Amino acid sequence: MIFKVKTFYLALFSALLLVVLFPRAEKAWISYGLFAAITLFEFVLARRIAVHGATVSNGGMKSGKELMWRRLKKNKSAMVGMVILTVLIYLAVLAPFITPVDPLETDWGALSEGMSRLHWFGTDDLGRDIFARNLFGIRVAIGIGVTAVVLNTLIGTFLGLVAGYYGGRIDNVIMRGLEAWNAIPFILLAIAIMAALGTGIGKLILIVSLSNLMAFARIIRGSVLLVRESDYISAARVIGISDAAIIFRHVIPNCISPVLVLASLTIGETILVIAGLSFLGLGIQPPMASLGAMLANGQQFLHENLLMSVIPGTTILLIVLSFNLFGDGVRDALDAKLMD
Amino acid sequence: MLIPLLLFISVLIFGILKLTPGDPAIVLLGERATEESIQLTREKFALDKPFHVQYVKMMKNLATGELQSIYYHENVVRVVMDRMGPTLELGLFALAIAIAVSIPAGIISAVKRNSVFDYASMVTALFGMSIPVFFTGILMIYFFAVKLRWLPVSGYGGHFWTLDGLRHLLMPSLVLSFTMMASTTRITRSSMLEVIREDYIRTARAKGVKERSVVLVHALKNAMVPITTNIGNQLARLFAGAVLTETVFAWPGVGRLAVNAIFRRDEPLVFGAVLILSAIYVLVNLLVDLLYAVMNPQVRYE
Repeated sequence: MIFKVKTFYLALFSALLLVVLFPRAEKAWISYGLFAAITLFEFVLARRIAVHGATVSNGGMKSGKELMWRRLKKNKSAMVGMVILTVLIYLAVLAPFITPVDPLETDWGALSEGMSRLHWFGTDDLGRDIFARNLFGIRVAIGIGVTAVVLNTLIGTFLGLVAGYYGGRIDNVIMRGLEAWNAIPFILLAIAIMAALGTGIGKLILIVSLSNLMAFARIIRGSVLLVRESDYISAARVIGISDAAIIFRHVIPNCISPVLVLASLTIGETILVIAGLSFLGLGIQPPMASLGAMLANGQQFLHENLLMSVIPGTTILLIVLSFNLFGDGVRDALDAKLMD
Repeated sequence: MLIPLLLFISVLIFGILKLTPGDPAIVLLGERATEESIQLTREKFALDKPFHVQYVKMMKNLATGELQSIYYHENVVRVVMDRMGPTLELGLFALAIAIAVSIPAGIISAVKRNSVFDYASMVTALFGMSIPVFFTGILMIYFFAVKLRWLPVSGYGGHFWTLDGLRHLLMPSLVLSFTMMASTTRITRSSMLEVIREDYIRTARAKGVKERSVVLVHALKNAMVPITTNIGNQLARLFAGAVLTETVFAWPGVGRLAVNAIFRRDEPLVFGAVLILSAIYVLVNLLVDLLYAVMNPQVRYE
């Protein structure tokens, strides 16, 4: 394996950038060229890191990250999750090349058909190809899910950093505010915001990315409070380095790993929440393909066509399961590292 | 701490709903309101006054029962409370099932670590955490209602002590409990594993206490703290987050009421339902904190 956790995140991120920028079925050559370039760059980078790692480990010194990566590599279920995810991401990104059928195109000659050579998983009540819709559904689910978690992590980390680093009143205000924010059940908040502003992808991402701030802020605040007291931070202060530079150069690198773990563990849950909102009709709006909405539609035709609900449901299960496997693996690897 | 928190939540929800574009009087009354009633509403909700006056008016209207649902033409609090019964039944039933299954499963997994049972229950728990509630629901409906015809497809059949009510309640509560089971089993297992390594367990074994009572009394008692916290958090979420299950099974609960209110553009009802559910959520969380203090003397110093 020439993947590493960070390059894996990079791959995820580049894929979702593409997906969020181009959610439709067009073959936008510029964006695919860009994606191919990024993929190639990642492979080269991963290769070089691997080679570099091999030479370094020959010297006998191993960094903590190296150890964590080794543990993760030994964890079979985490690796399975990672491989499934990689396959799913490539399926999603390359969707227009895999299936010739447009996911939005209705075919009145083939309503609610079973499996066939043209329609691999059959068609739905409007004659749309379920396989194609499923591929684009994966694209939207992973794209929006990961974007929301990235935003969530950034905002939560920022708040936690500020609260932990400056302490005192700022700390108090931020943490009390977050506690109150946390006291409102998330799905109800989403309902209120949707009721006031209507639905839309932007709003969906915004709402979901504000859902889990407390956990991130709390975890990073805890480690910042420890790091802040250490000698190297006092030393940096004494020689007159600015607060921003201290935070970026010295504080963040020393307390970012638990945040990465939490983010890995949160993605699965977030994708479930987004699918749930789409199921209720509050998330991604038709005709755009979304797995949750496909299931809601499938429930109405449970008697006629089981494929309409089983295919998207299994896909959500697969996505969330592999994210959870991967997240558990990252956590275990880091826990073991902390125990050493 | 409780009162300011509830106030904050109500201001926040009120503020969010104020973001709705359009004339607030029409928003409150619905599209088909007459000119006269619009004038009346403007006065009643102080809509031409600043934000804080409007907020106080709104809360006063909610408390006195003058805030009416557009769709039901009835007091918002009444409408929500009427639906509270089914939601409570569903939530408590699901909770009971989840506890009855997951705590024994977690204990056995911890005691017989790395056995077939342990692997099976951990894999099941992983699936339980990853499967969307509505997918479990749809699959169960397909097998038990459409194929086997053992249970009704959906809907509410009366209170749970009647046979019909119980038959209707069975599938939704199983589905709702599934997610909860997953996390409770995992927590029970890891908490038990941690406790079993402690010195006092070795002491208990050394002085000849029976294995059964070592596990069930000495270990479980000490492992209970994280388990209760987890159950409490889940409980609070059950009442608010049963929306999906209620939608799949057409269950007449508060969550589904709130979602339907959005589609019917019934803003007063959204406000009332969200506020009441949030208040319950906060209260349950507070009770859990209190229970936590009772169970774990270490946190009582505060």
